Amino acid sequence: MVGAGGIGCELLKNLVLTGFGEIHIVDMDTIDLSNLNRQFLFGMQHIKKSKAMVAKETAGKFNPNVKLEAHHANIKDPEFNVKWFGGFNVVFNALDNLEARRHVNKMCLSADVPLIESGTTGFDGQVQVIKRGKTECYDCTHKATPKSFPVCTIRSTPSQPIHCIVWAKSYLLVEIFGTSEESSPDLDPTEDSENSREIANLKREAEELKNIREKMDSPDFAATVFNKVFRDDINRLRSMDEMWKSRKPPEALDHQMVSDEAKGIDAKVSENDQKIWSLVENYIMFEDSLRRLAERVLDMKRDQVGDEAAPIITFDKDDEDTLDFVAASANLRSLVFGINVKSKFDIKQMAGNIIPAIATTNAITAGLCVLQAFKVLRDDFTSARTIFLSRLADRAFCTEKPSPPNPTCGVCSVARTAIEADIERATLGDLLDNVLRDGLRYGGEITVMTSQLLYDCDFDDNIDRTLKGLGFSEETFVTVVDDEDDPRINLEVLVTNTQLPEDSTPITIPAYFEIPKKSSAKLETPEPSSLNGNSANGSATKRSIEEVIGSDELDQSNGPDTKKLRRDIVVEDRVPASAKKLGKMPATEMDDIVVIDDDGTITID
Amino acid sequence: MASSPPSGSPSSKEKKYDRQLRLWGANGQNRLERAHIALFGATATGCEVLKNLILPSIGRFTVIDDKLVEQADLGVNFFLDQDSLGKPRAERAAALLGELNPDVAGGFRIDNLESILSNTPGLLDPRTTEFTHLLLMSPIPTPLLLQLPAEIPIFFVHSLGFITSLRIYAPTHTIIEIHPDSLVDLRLFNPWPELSEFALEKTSTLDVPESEGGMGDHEHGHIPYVLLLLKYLEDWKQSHQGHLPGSYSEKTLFKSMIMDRMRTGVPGGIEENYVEAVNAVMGDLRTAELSSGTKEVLNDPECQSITSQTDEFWIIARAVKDFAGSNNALLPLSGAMPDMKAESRGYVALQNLYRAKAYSDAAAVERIVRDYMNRVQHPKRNQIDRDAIQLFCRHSNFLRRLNYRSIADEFSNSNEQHKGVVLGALGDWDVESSLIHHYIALRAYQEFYTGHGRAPGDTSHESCEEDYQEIRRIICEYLKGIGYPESLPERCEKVAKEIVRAGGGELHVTASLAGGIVAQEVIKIITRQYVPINNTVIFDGIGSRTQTFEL
Ligand SMILES: [Zn+2]
Repeated sequence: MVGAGGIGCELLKNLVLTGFGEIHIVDMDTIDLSNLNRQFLFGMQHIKKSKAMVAKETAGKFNPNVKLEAHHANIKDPEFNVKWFGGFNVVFNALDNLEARRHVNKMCLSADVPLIESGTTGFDGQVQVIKRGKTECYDCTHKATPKSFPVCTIRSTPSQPIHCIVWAKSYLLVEIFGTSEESSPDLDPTEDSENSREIANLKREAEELKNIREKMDSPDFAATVFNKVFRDDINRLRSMDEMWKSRKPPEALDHQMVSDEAKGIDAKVSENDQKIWSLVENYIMFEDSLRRLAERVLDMKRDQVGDEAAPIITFDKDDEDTLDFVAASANLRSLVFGINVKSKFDIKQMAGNIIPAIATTNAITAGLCVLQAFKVLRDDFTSARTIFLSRLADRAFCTEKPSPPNPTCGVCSVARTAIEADIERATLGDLLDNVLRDGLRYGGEITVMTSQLLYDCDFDDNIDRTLKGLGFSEETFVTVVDDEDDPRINLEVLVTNTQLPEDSTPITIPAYFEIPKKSSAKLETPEPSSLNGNSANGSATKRSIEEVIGSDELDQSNGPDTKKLRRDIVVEDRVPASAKKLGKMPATEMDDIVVIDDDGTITID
Repeated sequence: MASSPPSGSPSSKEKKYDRQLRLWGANGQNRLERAHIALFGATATGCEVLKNLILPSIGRFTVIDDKLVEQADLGVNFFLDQDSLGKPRAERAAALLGELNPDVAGGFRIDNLESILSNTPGLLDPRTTEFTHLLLMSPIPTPLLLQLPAEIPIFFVHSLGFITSLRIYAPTHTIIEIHPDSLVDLRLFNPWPELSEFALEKTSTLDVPESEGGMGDHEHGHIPYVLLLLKYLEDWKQSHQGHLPGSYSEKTLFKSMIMDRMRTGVPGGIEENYVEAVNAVMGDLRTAELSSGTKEVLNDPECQSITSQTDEFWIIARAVKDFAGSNNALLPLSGAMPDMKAESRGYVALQNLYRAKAYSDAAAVERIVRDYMNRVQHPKRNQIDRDAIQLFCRHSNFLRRLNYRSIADEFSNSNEQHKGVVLGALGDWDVESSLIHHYIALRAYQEFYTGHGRAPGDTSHESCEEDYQEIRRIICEYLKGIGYPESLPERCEKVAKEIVRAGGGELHVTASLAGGIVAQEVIKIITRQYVPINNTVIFDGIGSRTQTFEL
């Protein structure tokens, strides 16, 4: 079970009470106050503790027969390798971010372990069964990636409130209180600037801000920061006439003027988080939160021992000081650029990527995950379902058959092989010649890559470098793209680092196997029927009820599948043998294909 | 989002409930915290429902149950532990559920519905009861259900094996905030004078080239699309004898007319505001019409004669009706406007125009409310809630009224509407995938329990087949009673077998899932936000499907 948050708590409770034998829980997060409205395995006394550990502790009490193991760790850590994933019968994704979901999807495909993927937003939720070769994978349909913004939009030409919020959170706060080396996912540095002069200016501005940071203990620190970012930098920007030909130029603020106006007004006036603050209120909040943050850093500096890393503060939507600072700074910048000002409540949601969440949706979603797991554990992928929850009153959710793998998916529709290599000795040339050309009979025209390009026919600089030198670690995925006419589908080679005897080749060679051609792969994969629909086309809630109902298994009950259907219904009874009174009545009286074993479990004849 | 924002800095309580405040706001949260829920039956399902209500912080709960905790409970109920064995279920469940949230007051009563109705009826008398909502876990004999007061919302739940059903009954349920995707109403076909004048003024030199003293390219590309549409609608009317583009083909023509006026000699070759205008033609150009939900509310008898007893909702509804009556059948304006390509200043000016109109419409409605209240000497005439009136006006085209069929009518066998729904579902072309068979089988289960005082299948082996035959007989009788002409559907038999096999037993997974489905509906009813199910939802865990029926 990856993720011990909202869905995870429900899931763990269900799995423990259903009597699963061994459950591993992986989560890197700690418990926060705002989790407690739904994550019921945690209480006030657990705040700041590991979710995985506390979940194990709380849920474990309810069934001592279940073996629980908690990992307070990132699922992307190398210890969770393909072999580790391969040790499970089923993996549940109860995650809150795309990146980790995609990672687990890839690992489960590679280990050929079924994955039950789930997620919720407010009243909406989704459950999807993923099995290599049988269903579509998480990456078969396009997923909207979190938005990132070009650096210049954020730093020079904001036009929406979100631009100013990202500026406050990922630039200003980081430059003053954080470590600016870490690049922010909100900022997209690849986007070209309108001119390189501007890039140079922005670099210099950031340097100047770093120098101001040294004066954190001076009484006019706030005034210095304010004048720097809301007056001098703005005046400098404004002077670049060519930028403002089709845009309204920004209007600088002056500290003296604003602070005079703010005299005698208490910082309390700005505490209402749903009100739109005025210029003066924003200023008061800016100054007050900057002072609070500076005091925290100075305190930490005093407690610093030896050569410990310099203390930093990073944005946390639930850290009131950082949130106040980001809200006030973002709004001041909006005022400078004539952009709508937002309330602190809204800024919190925008800056923190807050997703509304409640217990009810998690309970429904987790329950559906377990029902799907019953089918997966019987290897019955035809009756597994993809389910969409919605708040619509005409039905609580929509159910469809899982779509087949998308033949053009670069993640699941690939051929796979695994090899071992001594990455300190093996070179890229060994991989190309021994594994790909000799072993798998590739021609000359191929492209080979990990997360970076290693080789193609115009780029052979790396041939003599060792795999380690090319960034290989204990487990590395290599993608091989066939560039010949009538090419084979992509190949994914899992390279595991192993000590191989000094006198042997530093890389193992897989037995030759037929890799299908791209052209034939497309023909062989059945097209999704119109009844199955395709979730890529958007939300299932828009589908007509006929479509949804028509897609269900029960419409086959007149056909030759009747026996199978009856089987399905009965087999479901097997897992929850703990059900109260369930065993009292031998199902054999009703249905001749079921027998009850001595130990009470129901098996299928 | 929240209509009456909490004042002051967010407290730790607001932080704790932040994620749900974003769904139902302070209004919904206040209603939740005033609710006192009674749970009859500390079953696994009942405890799961209550869990999902305690976590978001209802005000109080009371667990009512007269059984002792058995070994069998421990396997399915997360809120009964090893230490609970042999102790009263009500007490133990209340204690463990109470630990979930210190903000919620919990209590218990070792009792059952039957004895309360005959010995302490005051507990459920609408004049004296403390309970605002009743959660009833099957099994409960039908006659007891029929004795429940009509004034209190009830949620009656079956949870058997992989099957779950929820029946909601509530007195007339009105909703202001159904949370539609958008409240935007631009009034493009019915602009008020200030909006028309504003559009005229801002677009006077729109189609004059800059070289002839017209609008510069920058300004031209930043005229909000709302103003573009208003301007070009005027032009259209001039060339179409005062008619607006109403039909699809007229709208298509109107779109190309707008595209023809777009300046293409600008950087990028198109103007975004013109593209937005064209995109809005099909959706936003329409005559203002009352939604069917709002019509139902405004035509409800409650609106017709206002007395000192009339609920504020209906007084405001009547005021809105009167307002529309003297305003060309137009409802109060919502004031909401979408984002659009514009200069910040121009956008804000337009937004202010919509907001000011919404404000003045709401003020007019408030005057009518005041008049009515004074006329009938309404007890709340001196505490008129302006926020509530503004909220009502903003949502006035999204109102909803649900009249739930009583449980007595459902069970009477002679209610024509009920019969119609069941026969309709049985006669549907896709009846094979319908969950109506689950309903029919569960109804038979209910009758079996009422007659025998035990669940079918919940005895020694010998009677299982008998129980099944009895259920089958009940189903046949019911189908005959409602006038179903054919023989017992095979699917009914299948579900009936499954129900007998469950023997009245719960599965934890189903209980947990049902806990989510039921609590979600309870929250909708309590907060009076979102549209709850009317009146039955069935869940089938084997197909992982739900279906709703108005039974
Ligand atoms: Zn895929």
